[in-house]
Amino acid sequence: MDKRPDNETKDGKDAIARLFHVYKKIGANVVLEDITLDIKRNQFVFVSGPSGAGKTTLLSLLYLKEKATQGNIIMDGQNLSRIRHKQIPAFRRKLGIIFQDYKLIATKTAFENVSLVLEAAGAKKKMIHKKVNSILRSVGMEDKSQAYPLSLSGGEQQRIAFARAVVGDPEIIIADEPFGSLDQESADSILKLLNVYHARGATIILATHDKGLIKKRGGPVVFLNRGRIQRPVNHARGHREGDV
Amino acid sequence: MTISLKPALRDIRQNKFLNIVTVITIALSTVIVSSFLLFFLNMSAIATGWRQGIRMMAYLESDSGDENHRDLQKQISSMHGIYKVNFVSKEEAISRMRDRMGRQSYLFESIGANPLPDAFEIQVAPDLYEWEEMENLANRIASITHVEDVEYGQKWVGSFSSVFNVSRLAGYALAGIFFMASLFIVANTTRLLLYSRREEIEVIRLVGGADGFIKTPLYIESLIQGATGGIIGIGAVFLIYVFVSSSSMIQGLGFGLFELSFFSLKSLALVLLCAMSVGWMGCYISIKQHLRD
Repeated sequence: MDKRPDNETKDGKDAIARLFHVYKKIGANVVLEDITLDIKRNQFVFVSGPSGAGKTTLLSLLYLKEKATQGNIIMDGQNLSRIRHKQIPAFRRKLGIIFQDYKLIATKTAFENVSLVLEAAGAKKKMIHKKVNSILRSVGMEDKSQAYPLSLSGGEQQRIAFARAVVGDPEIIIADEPFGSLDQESADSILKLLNVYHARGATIILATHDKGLIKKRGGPVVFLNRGRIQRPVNHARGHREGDV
Repeated sequence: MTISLKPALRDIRQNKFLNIVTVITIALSTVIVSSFLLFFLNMSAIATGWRQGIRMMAYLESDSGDENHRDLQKQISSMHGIYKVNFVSKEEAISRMRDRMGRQSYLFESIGANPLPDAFEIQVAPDLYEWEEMENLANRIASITHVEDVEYGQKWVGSFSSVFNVSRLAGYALAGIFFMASLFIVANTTRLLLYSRREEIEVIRLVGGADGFIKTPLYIESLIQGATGGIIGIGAVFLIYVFVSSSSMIQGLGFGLFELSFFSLKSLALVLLCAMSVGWMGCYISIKQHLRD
């Protein structure tokens, strides 16, 4: 991943997400200021920084929960400032989002929470059944497919949220503090799963304030502080210093 | 469709209270509006029956002369709205009266000359619907030379018609008010439903669910609510109808051989369709407001 303007990816051809001088203001408060960066296809990128730095806001701009006040964001060739309301669902189906608070629907079973993505995409019932069961198996939740989220532990809920994020085979997985309230074992298991999908070709954008985890996993980091990109950081794993 | 029907039925199960409130509202509105409708339907049928039986009597002057009767009969028969004209001589009139009075007919013995005039008994055409036309016809007959007076005993039918027309208008207005009220209540219950599901709707949107994916089950739900409310309402109106038509009070009102009738299948389908459209429109209004963004 490159931080621009000094070190953009060359003509951005291999970038899956490009941000150009992005600002986000909420009222008089500037939450993000002059964010310019490229994220390459199949990168595993961390977005880090202290609480209130703007990590969640930055991610929410990427999946269009919020719109940038100023600047342009191009995701997989689509300019998000020009996207039409009707195009948003199809755009979001390219993404897999893991939310900080899981956002599982309490009135739906684990299976139904995961199948929702495929139903929304108009998939056939038989295919939904097959794929959801396979994903639940891969995250070790097959036996709890009929359980409701509130009857599950935090780690189990996070695994369901992960299954929901990946069931549609997304090109980009956006994860907002996915290990926030998890014990070490659960966090490791989610990180392993993310690595598996990264190895399969997905681009992972992960927001976390856990420096230990970043060091452990390694990879490019976008460090935010008070809404601005602070400094390029890179932790081993074959990434050259200055990529971020 | 099946993929939308299933979540719709599940939502109904999960939000029983709100759905029951909506169904009851639609059912009550159906009962009120359909009762009015049934009342006017039957009153209209009764009024039409009465109108069809209306006869006029055109009494002739004493010096009208027998030779003019045929011309007068032709003249009256040629008028618009006349079905049949019979000449009733004064002798026939007194004989009818004697028959009617039965044992009291001896009273006529003290009367010397026959005091009754010659007359025409006029049967009005059933298609003469408006009461004003009936009055105009009577006035035109009364203006014919040798016709002294025109009477039509059921003049009160005219008054009834006026009252009936006014109350029909009031009925339409009430039906409109109840339609709006139930629409408002259904829209609000749908809004509550949407509000209670706002987090779920947000999640569906975030995972790529299009508006149609969110709306379709809600519309199906509203149609089910409307149909259920409509069927319950029609059932209640039918019970009221059975009770009223068999009650001795109605039998004693003197409707004669007239029988109260219920809605035809076509009307029932229309009532059901209206109930379903109340559900649908209520849902449409809420969705339009709630899912604007």
